[in-house]
Amino acid sequence: MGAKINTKRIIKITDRCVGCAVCMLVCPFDGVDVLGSAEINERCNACMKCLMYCPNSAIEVKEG
Amino acid sequence: MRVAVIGAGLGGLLTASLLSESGYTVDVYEKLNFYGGRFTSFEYRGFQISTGALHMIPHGKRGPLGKLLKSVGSDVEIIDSKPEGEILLNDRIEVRSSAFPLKSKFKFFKWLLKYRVLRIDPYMDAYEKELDDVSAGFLRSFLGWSLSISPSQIKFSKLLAIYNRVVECGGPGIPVGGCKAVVDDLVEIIKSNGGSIRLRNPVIRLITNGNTIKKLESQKDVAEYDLFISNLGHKLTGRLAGREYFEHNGCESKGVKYSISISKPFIGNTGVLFPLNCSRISGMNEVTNADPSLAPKGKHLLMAHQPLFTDNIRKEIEEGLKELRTLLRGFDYEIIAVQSFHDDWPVNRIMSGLDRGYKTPFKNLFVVGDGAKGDDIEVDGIALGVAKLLKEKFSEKVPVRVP
Repeated sequence: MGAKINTKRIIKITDRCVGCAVCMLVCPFDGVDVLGSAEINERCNACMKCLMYCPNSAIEVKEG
Repeated sequence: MRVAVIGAGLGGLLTASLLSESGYTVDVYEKLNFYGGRFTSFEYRGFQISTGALHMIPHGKRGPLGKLLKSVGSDVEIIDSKPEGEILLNDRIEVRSSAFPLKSKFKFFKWLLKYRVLRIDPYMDAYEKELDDVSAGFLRSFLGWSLSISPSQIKFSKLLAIYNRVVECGGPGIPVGGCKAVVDDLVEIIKSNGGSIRLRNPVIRLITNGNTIKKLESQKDVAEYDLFISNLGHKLTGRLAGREYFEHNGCESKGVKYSISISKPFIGNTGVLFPLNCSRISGMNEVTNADPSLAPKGKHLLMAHQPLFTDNIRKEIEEGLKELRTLLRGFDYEIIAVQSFHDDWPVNRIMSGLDRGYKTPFKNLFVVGDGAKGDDIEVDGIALGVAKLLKEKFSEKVPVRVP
């Protein structure tokens, strides 16, 4: 088993986020907390489902 | 005749289903991975948590949406709320005429006369001051709950239109299965009529020739249609067509929705509770009293709505949570979702009363949805906007009867 990836460094919530929490509702890992805006937590597995459902295209994959 | 519907929110799906029932060939384009927009839900921890709406239809089965759903052949059951609403002050008072002092009722008729005879039509904050505390508090809560606005944001005439519709059609209802059941049904109807729902296929632009839209370019292809219906509001629709004919930044109504898991019912009925002692929370409902399947066994789904009047959303949520803690003292509960709605995913794209109707500068492009509502509340306003379009432009082919 390899070391757990730090997913906070992969998934980026941009300022387009309005805090509608669709990402939290669809996340299979309970990896997003939302209070006014979304925040990726340590349970995130970087499955990218949130990216596909975000109504505001507010979730991005960090480059580099 | 081929129709492209842009956006699979309630307004788009409702129009698409009505047109497809009348023989039009309809393709619905949706940029997201799901249909229903802010009128659907996802299962979260066993609860059906909506993407926006409160699992409620403002006028139940007798209102514009209830009537349109029936006319399109949807068999979604809508349970009308009983009581329709209650005021929470020290005790609970059912919202009916007798709940308000005679003096305030006279005031209302005085304003009505002034409007009818002299066309005096001020914003409601001017009149609010003349009311007793209960009537003024109810006005504030009702507007916050139903439209996410304050009395200073609605004219008397617009409130009168809503009041008349409440008198005519009655209060709210809860669709069994929640809002998802409604949009699922509409999608079934569209598909059974040969229409298609194209998820994850955003429309990039509308190709025009003068004042006519000729083609639609989506991420996946370019297609020709005779008619274009946009569910995106006028601002985004104009941008797609390359003509920004109506910019309305800052005109949206904003709000926060709290979804609460609670062991024992807090409201205990299917109506709306208006907590007048709260300055943030405008109303609450407990939809599991109508449909227990919206929550896991042994739990209720209580929802609270808070209109937003400032941009400091975190601070407003903190204040809303404080009020909920006071209201729910002594109950075993957990707040499972806090959702905020503003900008391009708002409560309403255009604040009630500022809607500019379905027309665009293009003769075969029309706007439906919460950016082009009729004078009514939330999804019933959307249904009214759709009904108006169909009645005025397609009445020969689409028989629509709404209140």
